[in-house]
Amino acid sequence: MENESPVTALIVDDEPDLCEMLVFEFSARGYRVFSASDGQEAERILDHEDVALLLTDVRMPLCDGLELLSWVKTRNVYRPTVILISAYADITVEEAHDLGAEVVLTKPFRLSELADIVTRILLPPERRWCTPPVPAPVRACALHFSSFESARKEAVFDLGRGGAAFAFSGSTLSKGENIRIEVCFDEGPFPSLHGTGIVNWVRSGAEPKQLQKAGLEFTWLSEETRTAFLLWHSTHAQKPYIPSLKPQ
Amino acid sequence: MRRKDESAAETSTYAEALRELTARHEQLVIELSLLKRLDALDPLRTDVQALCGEMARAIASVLRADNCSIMLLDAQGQYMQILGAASSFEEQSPENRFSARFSLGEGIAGHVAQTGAAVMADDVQDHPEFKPLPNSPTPIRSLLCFPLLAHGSTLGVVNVSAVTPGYFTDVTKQVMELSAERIARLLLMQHYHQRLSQSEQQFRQFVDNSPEPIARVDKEWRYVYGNRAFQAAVGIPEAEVRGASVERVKALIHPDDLTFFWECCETVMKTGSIRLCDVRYRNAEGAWRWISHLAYPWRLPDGTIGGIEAIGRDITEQKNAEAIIAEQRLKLEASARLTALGGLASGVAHEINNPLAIISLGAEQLDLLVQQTPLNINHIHSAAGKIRRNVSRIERIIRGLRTLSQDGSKEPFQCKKVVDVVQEVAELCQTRFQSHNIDMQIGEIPNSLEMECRPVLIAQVLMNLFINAFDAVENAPDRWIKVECREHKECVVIRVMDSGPGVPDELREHVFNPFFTSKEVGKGTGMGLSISKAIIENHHGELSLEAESPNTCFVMTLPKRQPRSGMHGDKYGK
Repeated sequence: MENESPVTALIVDDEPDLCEMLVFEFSARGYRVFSASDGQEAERILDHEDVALLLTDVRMPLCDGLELLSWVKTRNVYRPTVILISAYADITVEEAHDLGAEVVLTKPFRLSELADIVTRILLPPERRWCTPPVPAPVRACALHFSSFESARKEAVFDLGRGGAAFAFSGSTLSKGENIRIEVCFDEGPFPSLHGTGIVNWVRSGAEPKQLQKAGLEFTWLSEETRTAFLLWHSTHAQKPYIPSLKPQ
Repeated sequence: MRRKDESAAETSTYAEALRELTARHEQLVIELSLLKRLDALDPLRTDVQALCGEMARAIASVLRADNCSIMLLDAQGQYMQILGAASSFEEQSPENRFSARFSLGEGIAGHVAQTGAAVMADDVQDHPEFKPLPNSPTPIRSLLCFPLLAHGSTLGVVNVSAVTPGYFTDVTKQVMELSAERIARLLLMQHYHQRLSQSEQQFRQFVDNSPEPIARVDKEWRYVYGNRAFQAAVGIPEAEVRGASVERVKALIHPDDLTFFWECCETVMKTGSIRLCDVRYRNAEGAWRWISHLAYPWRLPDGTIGGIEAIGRDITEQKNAEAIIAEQRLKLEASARLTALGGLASGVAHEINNPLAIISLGAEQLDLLVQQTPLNINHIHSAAGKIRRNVSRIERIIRGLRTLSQDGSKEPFQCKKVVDVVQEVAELCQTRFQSHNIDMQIGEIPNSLEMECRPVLIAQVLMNLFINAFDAVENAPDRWIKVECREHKECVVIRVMDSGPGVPDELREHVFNPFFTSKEVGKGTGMGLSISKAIIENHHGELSLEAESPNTCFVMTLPKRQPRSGMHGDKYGK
C-alpha cells in the first residue's frame, strides 16, 4: 500500500473518543482520514471527497448510519465500501447486507479484527476471491436449480455483490462457519457455481416445514465461476451485498 | 189560706227540685257506672270484635236496654257491619245479626253514620228511615243511634234499643252521648295500637329476614337482639339470644383479629363513632370466613349510648379476590418494571457497548504505543484516560440498571439525596436522549435536599416519567425534557416536563388508570403511571398531571420525612 496513493476513509461516530481513536489508527496505517459525528456531516464530506471506505455507527443524532448507508449506496453501490458499526442489534446482519453494507461490525470489536476486514474488503473482487482458504472447509453445500431466475423468484437462491443467499434443509449451518458451495443450474448465466464462503447469517424457517435460509459471503470462487460472476455483475448492478432472500 | 197555697207551691217547687236532683243523680250514677265499665276494658289486649262485644254488653246492661250493637264502617267507608252486640233475647242467633250490613245512608244507622247526627226515636215505627234487621224475631220500638266520631270522621254507630216504645229517658240519651265519645276513643286507641303492632311486626320481619346478621348489645355487652341470620351465624338459638354474653361470639373470632375487633367495639361503645372492622369467624363447618362489621351506637331516649349495633357481611369472596388482585398487581409491577427495562435494554446495550469498544480499542492502542520508540507519552496518557473515563461510564450505567431492576417494594425507607436519585436515573437515559437530539435539562438541585424514600421505587417512577417524556418528544420538532426539584414546606416537589404535544384534556383524567396507554400497541403496558402513582401514594406523596401547564408536566410531591405511625386502614375512624 505504501507506494500507492493513500486510501481515503471516513469515520462517522457520535462518540468523540471512539472517533478520535479510529482516526488515529487509520492515520497511523497511512490512510487519509476524515471524521464526522453524524450522518449529515458525513454527507457533506462525501459530497467533496472521493471516499473509498466509510465506517459508520448506526445510532447517531440527526441522520443515522442506515440513512447514510442508503444515501451512499443509492449514489454508487460499489463506492465507498461501507462498514456498519453497531453498538446493538439495531439491524440484523442480514438486513445490513441487503441494504448494501459490505461489513457489519458490532461494538466492542478488536482493532486487529477491523484491520483484517479492511484489508480484505478493500481488495477488488477479482483479487479478493482468488485464493482458496486454508484449511479448506470440510462441509459442502450442494444445490440444484432449474434456472437462476426461477430460483430467485422462488426465493431459494440469489446473488449479491459479495455473496449468495440460499435455502437449505436437512443439515444445520451456523454463523461464522466456513463451507464449500456447489450450485448447479439447468440453464442460466451460470451453469454452475463453485466456491467457498463464510456463513454470515442463518434464518430458520418460520414453520417447521419451511426451509432454512443462510447468507454466505464468498471467500474464494473457482476461476470459471469468478469470471461468470463478474461478467454477470457488470451488467446487473446489485445493491445487496448479500441479498436477504425474501419472496418477491 | 195563702200560706197553705204558698206552702203547696213551695212543696211543689221542692218536689220539682228533688226530682231534678234525683234525675241528675240517677244520670250521674248511670254515667259513672257505664264509664267505669268501659274504662275497665283494655283496648290494647283485645281485638276489635271482642272489644265491641264487651262495650255493647256494658251499655246494654247498664242502660237495661234490650239490645245494643256497635256497627263500624269498613275501610272503604261504604258499608257498616255489626262488630259487637248484646241482647236480652239470647235466642237470637248472633251470626244472623253479625252478617247483616247496611250501606252508608241505609236505615237509621246508615243515616246517622252519613250525617253524623244522632237519632233518638221513641218509636221507630213512626220513623221514616227505619229498616228492621233481617230475620230479627223481636221487633224493636225505642231506638237511640249515636254516631261514633273521631277527628271529624265517622267510625260507625252505636245502637241501643228496647221493645217498648218511649223506653229511653232524657238521662239515658245524655249518657249515651257521652258513651259514644268514649267508645270512639277506645276504638281509635285499639286501631292505632293494632297498626303500631303491625308495623312493629313488619320491621321485626324486615330485620329478621335480612340475610346479613344484625345484632344489638347493651352496655353490659349482652345481646338484646339478634336476627335469624345472626342466630345461624353464631349458633345461638333464638330463645338464648336475649341476655347472651358477647363472649360467646368472641370465641368464634380468629385469635389474630380478636384484639382489633374488641378495640373497635369498645371505641364505638365509648365514643359513639361508627367503625368498620373486618375479622375472621369460624363458621359451623369450621372454615374461616371474613366478616365485615359495620358497628354503630344505639341511643337511649335521653341521648346516652345504650349499646352498640352491628351488621355483618360475609366478604370472604371479596377478600379472596383482593388477595388475588394484590398478587397480580405485584406481578404486573414486576412486569412493568421489566418492560421499562426492556425498552431500555437496547439503549443500555448501546450505552455499554460504546464505552466497551473504546476501552477495547484503547487497550489495543496502548499495546501498540508501548512498543514504539520513543514512547509517545501524551498518546499513552490519552488512551489510558479514555479507558478510565469509559469504565466509569459503564459503572454508572450498571449502577442505574441495578437500581431499576431491584424489587424495591421490600427495600427499607432511607434518607437519600434527591440529587443522587435524579442523577442516577438521568445518567441512564441521558445518552439515549442525546442520540435522539433530546435536550435533557436538569435544574439545580440543592445538595442538602434529602428525602426519606425507597430509592429504587422512586427511581423507577422517575424512569417511567422519563421514558414517557422520551416517547412524547421523540417526534416533536422541538425536543426537550426538563426536570426541576424544589423544596416546598415539608415536601420535595419534582416536576418532569417535556416539549411534547401535551395530554389532551379528555385524556387527562385517565392517564393514571391501569391499562391506559396512548402509545402504539406493544410499546406501552398502560401500567406505568398507575403503578407510579401507587408507589408515590405509598410514600404518602402525590403524583399528578399539572393542568395549567401548556406542556405535559408531571408533578411528584413527596414528604421529606415519612410519617412515623405507618398504620394503614382506619378509613372509617374519626
